[in-house]
Amino acid sequence: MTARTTAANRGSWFSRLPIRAENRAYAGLFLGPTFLLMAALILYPLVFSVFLTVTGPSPTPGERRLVGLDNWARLGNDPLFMQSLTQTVMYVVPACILAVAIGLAVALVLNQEFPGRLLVRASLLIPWALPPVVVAAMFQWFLDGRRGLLSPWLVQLGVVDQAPSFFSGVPGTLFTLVGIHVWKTFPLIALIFLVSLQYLPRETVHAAQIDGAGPWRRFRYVAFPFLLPTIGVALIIQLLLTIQLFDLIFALTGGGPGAYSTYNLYFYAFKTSFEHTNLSYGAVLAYVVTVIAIVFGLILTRGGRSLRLS
Amino acid sequence: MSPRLLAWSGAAVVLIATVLEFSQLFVDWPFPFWLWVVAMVVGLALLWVGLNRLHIGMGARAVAAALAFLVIMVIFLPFAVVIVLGSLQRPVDLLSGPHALPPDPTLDQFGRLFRIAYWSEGLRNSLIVSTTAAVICTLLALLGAYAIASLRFPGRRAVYTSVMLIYMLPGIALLVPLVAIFRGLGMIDTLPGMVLGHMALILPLVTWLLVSAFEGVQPELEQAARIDGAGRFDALRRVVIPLTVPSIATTAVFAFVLSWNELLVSRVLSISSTPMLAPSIVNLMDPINRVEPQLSAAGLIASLPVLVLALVMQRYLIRGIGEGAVI
Repeated sequence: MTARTTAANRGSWFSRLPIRAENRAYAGLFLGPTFLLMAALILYPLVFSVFLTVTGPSPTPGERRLVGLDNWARLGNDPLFMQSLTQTVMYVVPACILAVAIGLAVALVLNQEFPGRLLVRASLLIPWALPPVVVAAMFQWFLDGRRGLLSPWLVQLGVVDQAPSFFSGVPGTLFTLVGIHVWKTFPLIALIFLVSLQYLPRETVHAAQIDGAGPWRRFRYVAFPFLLPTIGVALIIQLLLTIQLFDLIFALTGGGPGAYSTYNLYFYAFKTSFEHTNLSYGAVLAYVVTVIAIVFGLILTRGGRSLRLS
Repeated sequence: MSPRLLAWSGAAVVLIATVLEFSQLFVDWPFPFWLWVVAMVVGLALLWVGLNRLHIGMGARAVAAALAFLVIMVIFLPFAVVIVLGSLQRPVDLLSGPHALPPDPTLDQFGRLFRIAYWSEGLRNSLIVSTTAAVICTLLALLGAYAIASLRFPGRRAVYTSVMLIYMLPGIALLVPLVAIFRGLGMIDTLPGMVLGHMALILPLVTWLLVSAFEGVQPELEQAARIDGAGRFDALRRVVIPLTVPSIATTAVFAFVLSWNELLVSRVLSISSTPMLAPSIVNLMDPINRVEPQLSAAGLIASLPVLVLALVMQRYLIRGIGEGAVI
């Protein structure tokens, strides 16, 4: 008996098929469950949401009336849409700059050898792992004007003269949320830089050191150019995280204070869909968020490829 | 000036300024904040220069350790003071002003918390839903991810790209139509509906992570098994899976954490009979009935599972996050 038939006998029935047909049969079999689930839970809803955007509630209950592109046209003359879009930018820009700057600095610090380095690295996982609602509850008390600890501390330490108010100003409250969001996300950005720094060739750094380059020059002319693609990646990841910022807004401000002063597009889509139960316009708003996310996501995968090359 | 003297004076300046600055939390006397900042910069610079002259690289290490201490404080301080110590306070302690240390530590609030029906039910439901969703998704995606990573079939590229695009979808894009569909099927406010909703959220992540993990397995190993007569399923079970156990476990942990922390899906798919953890914490934050120490107790309990998982799996999680695979 030849080895081939033995193999075929011990393998499954599919092994008798020619190799390409066998591959296809297995692909179909293996992909089946995942595909069915994705089709039912993701692809079908996505198609259904296109249907939602072109229909509206009809007088007959349980049915929907075709309204064409009316829901899409509403974007053009909806001041709250424009405000949410502007405020999304107000969240994204400072959150990206702060998280990337702090993350990079922390990664550079942790890239040094010093006792306790691994402890610090592990503790970076804490803000990442904590449920966002717990972070919200924590900072709600910590930053509270009367009951919170931070305001009296800041006064006692002489940082400020008067206790600041974190949750009442416009647009100050938005920036409080940015600060909390940065607290939660800078560790993730730091870890991205830290992994990237491991690929920084030691010889180059040493060569620069022997040539007399100080720490600043070593960073500016060796590490920084090396990290440039990673900075791009980190900026986009932080952007994706920030346009999807929802939990903090929902738990801490509910969109206020004042007239929608902490709305972003994501939160507006949520409010429209589920509190004003206008699923059609909500789906349109969700599509706007999706388009932004996909565009930057695609740029990211390009950047990710060049990252892997370097 | 000798390098040793420089280093010691730098360390002394840092230490004295820090003691002076933070003693103000206990003793009321004016030490301006800017003076502390200036002293830190000057002291660390002296330390740096002195240690560098003594031994190459020592300065960077000492300054890094000092800055790392700052990072630790920023991360731990709010959690330790508000969530851990805060949960030990009594509600009356709030009246005598904010306390960093509980004046009369007690575990009362934990007991009271569990007498709130929606809290204990929410905790139980979240344990069930997150575990079920993470386990089912990981097991199902094992097969699919293996097919995408190692089988050659027509349309593979397209499947690969769609999985990636689906992974990038914001939750709200999925949730709006999902709610409309679930309403039609009467699945809102049911536990199976909740599990399915969470699965919709984590399945793309799980599939994507497993595809990346399986792509890392050397094809030669699998081919060797196939030549020895193993079918595709055997190759997956006996070669690929044993080689990627850490990645599979990490994937399941990522899925669990994502589902456990999830607020939007849990909130929208539940009306009254399936309370979940994250929304019930938001309920406890309600300004009228809010009892801060109780909220901290809830926060501590809600954080424990994810913190334990993060601690146990830290090596793998750090790698997964650092490579930008999970956001």
